[in-house]
Amino acid sequence: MNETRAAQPEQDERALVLAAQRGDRTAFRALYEAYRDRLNSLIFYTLGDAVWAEDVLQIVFIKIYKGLPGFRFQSSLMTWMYRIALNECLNQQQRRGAAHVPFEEILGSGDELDRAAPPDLAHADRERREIITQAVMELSPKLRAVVVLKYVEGLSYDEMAQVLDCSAGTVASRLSRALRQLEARLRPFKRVL
Amino acid sequence: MKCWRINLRRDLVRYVTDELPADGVRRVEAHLLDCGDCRDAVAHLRSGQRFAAQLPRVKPQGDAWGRIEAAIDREDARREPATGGVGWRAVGFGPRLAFAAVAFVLLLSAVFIALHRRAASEEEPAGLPSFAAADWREFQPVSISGIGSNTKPHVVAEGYVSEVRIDEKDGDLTFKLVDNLDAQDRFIVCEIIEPIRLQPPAAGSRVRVYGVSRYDAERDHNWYEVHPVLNIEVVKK
Repeated sequence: MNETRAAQPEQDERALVLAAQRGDRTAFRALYEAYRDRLNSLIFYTLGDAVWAEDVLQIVFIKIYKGLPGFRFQSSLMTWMYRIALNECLNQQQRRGAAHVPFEEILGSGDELDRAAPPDLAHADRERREIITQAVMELSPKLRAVVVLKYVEGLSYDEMAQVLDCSAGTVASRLSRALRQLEARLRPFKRVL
Repeated sequence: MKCWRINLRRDLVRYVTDELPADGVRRVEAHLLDCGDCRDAVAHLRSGQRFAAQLPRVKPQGDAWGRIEAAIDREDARREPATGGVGWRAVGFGPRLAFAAVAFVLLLSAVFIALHRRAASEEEPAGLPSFAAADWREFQPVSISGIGSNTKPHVVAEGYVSEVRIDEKDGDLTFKLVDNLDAQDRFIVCEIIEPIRLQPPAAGSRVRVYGVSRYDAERDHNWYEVHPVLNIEVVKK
């Protein structure tokens, strides 16, 4: 029963892909709706700029549309789309030259942050997310990608390996390094996080 | 002292993310009883994971579907003549492509008529002809290296013409715009298409190009274009 339930969304997605491959614009739009936020997250965390990310999101969906007739279900649609998105981010960064804003420049020191009492919970929550987001942005692109794929997108090691075109062991090693670096960076803010 | 059980240390991250098989979990937990170094490592990984798990999903601010669909329409319209149309109709693109093609032809006809009316009613300006209906001041100035961040459909870009080519397939005329004739790694491809009869600029000249911004994502392309070019002003011959 559970297997049937789990298989249903996959079948629905397959049907959508097949319809989109036949030129059904409504089916393609359904795929866009299903993956828009997920791809935007990955692109945003890779590029570090919300406006740029939205521009790239459009390019990615156009590439997906153009590539869809050649998609043969040899990988999952999700990992295929993520690969297109990451490749496009790489293209865009090479074109533009990636901007880098030092972590400390954005946050100030840990002491300063500790002294500032949050005026309300919503503000504190937003501030907490910003601190974590900036710390993730400070990771190298490879480490950042595994963190986002794992903790924002919920991919398994094997799925991440497909997206990143490397072995699951490499993914594990990158994730281990990423978590240790995050811990070290955010240790001073542990009390507010 | 650093633990030398390399294989077990490698498994710690999978242990922390709950993706280690049961026998692996037993092995790691037995090892953790004796190894303070690995217990510290697990504590750090768990702490890092607690932070990472708070990372929010970032939704786009606007709905880009309209722009994506417009780009798809343009792409389909562009692809139709190149593929002879038969292949796309066979996979169900017929009515939409036909509609897009008709719209495209109507648009180009309007441009053609506007150009000829101007030519008939006004003295032909010196140099390159211009597209009468457009207000060039409305076009978004973009640099060659910065066109990637542009969000406006109508742009004006200035640069040197590094090469001029005629497409063998469709006869369209393209030229490359660069900042520096000696370093051409960054460029914009500008395409003059019928019926906007613009004279191509001379290679080596500096020009200001007005037109529609687009990204060509075709294999082996992946570049920004001004397509179609609507006007060219020669800055320096």
